[in-house]
Amino acid sequence: MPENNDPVTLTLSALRTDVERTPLADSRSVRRRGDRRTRN
Amino acid sequence: MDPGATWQGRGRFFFLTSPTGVGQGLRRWHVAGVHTGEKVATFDSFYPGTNRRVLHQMYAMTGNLADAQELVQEAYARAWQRWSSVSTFDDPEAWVRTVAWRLAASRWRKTKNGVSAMLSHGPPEHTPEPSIDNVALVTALKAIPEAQRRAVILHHLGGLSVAEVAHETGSPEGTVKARLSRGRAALAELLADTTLAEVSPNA
Repeated sequence: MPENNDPVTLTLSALRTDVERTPLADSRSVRRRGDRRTRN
Repeated sequence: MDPGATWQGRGRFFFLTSPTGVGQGLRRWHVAGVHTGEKVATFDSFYPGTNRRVLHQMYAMTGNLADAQELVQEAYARAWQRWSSVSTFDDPEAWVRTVAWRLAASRWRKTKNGVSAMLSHGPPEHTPEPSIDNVALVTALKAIPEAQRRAVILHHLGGLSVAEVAHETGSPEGTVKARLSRGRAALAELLADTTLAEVSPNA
């Protein structure tokens, strides 16, 4: 396991600022999408 | 399942916690045959507890927030389709991550798949542009070979050991160590940051 203060780990962690601003569908919508796929 | 229960943990170490105490780890949570409501509840707890981590890794892998967003949601939808079995795996998050990765690789090979998914599910929700601070990093990640990038992301963002990366990617540990070393060196060179290449990968 890499250390939390490893320079690469810290560098990649910077992407979190973008990730946290990105919306994701709620759980119900994801389940519906899976259900639609199953029916089709 | 207690409706107040939530997934807590990281990687393969998930536990259901609830006001009534800590439940069984996911690996022992046999959903097959249980009431649909319970199946829904376990998924509804798993999804928000893990989706940001997978999104983070897929963003680093693809360099594109909209692609990462779509891949993650598709991978979780597929997990829901098979939730009775996926939920009993040692590490369901690894299953979702692997599916997202395969979808990404497939779309890189066949761009039309991405287009057809877009037509099926509509355009992605509003997706922010990468922040200016991250443009150089995203560009550097996209410039290193896919296998090196995947090893670096699994090890440094996913927190997987070298052995776990080897298992997940189906590669020998020596190969993973070489990919990590080369990936670090490539990132260091591309970002002109010598500190990135200084530390050797930890097992």
